[in-house]
Amino acid sequence: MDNENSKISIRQLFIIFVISIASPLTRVLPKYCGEIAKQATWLTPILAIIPFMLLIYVLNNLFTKTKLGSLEDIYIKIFGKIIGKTVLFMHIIWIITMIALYVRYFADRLTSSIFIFSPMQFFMITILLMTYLVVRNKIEYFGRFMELYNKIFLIFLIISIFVGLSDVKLPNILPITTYDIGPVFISIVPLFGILGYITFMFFLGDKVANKDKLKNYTKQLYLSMTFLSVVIVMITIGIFGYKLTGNLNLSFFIFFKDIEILSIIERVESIFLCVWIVTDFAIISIFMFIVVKLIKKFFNLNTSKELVTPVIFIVYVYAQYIASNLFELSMLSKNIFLYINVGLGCIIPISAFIIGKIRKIV
Amino acid sequence: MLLFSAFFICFTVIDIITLIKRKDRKNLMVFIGLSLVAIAFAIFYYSDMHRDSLVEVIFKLFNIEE
Repeated sequence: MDNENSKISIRQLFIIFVISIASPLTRVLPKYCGEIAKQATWLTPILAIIPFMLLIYVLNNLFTKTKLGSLEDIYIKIFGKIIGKTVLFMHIIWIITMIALYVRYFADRLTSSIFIFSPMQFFMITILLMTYLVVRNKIEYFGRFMELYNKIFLIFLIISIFVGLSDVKLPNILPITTYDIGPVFISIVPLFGILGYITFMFFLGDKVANKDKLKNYTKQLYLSMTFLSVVIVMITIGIFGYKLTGNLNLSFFIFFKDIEILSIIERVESIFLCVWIVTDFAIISIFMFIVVKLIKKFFNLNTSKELVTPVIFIVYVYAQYIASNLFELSMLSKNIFLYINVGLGCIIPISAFIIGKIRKIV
Repeated sequence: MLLFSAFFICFTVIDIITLIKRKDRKNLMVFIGLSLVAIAFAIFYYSDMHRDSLVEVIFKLFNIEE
């Protein structure tokens, strides 16, 4: 029962969120946002702060006004038991799909970069076993690990800026004209497919000790999120240009593959991969924590840690069934998944807020 | 697959014993239900009952061109 009562701080939750979105951002920002906003893509994360602030405002209001512990309780209270549970069920299915997607991306990324002749299933089993061990334990441990890893990640980002900034070509990110305003605004939509994950994080609301201090940490969240996004855009589109980046599946990885330190140290991409694998591990683990908790709420259970075993097995099969190759996977993300994420991550909480206002619950 | 199945069977048996010892019937039912879903899904995938991947099914369903 102890595992059920362990808690993390709101700061740790935000750290987990920022680290988790790092991996999908390297795919979505340079490729999909770059396709729309072209050389002005670096403005997308800066402008995305405004709707993101609105989303945080909505979530903060939902929690402070209803005084309920987690988002699933809020949805059930606002939408009613039947619709609320249907929404929960949709989230369970969707988050399992997301876990399968990220497990597959993780395995595909490794087999298409450095472990070319290795079986994909080996990497899937490895990451799922790691996740299994983490999710069966207290979320507190995971939160602390992420807090520690955050410092390593920050050092890694700063090194990336130092190494990559000299290679950024100004014609790849400039000029910016008034004609870019429209595309930049449109490119916020796919970006919100990733930023909407913050809503999913609040399903762990009752595992967060100081939710009332949410406002104190929002500035740090906006800053770190924008910093991370702009660094990713600069390193990919700034160096390769939006046209080439659009055709590359692993543009961020290719940048690291070319790095040579003082013409002596080469192959630093292995260090990059080590750092990057943890971001994949973070997103898979936190989604697993969320889905297990949602299943627990859906069936009104006392404990949830035993449910990890069947969910892990479903994810393992699902990750193989989801697509045949990396191309299909990216098509699926681009055309369908990002928009469903926007629906569940942004539109549902905003609708809950509006309905809550009408019903005078919020 | 064999390795993963072995892990799955071991962990499932341990969890079932824990739940039986705890006399948590509701949790046990949900656990068995989810395990059956997992097994059914695995049979569906490994016995080649499917012809296309999920992406191909969705793309055919919504007429999306790759």
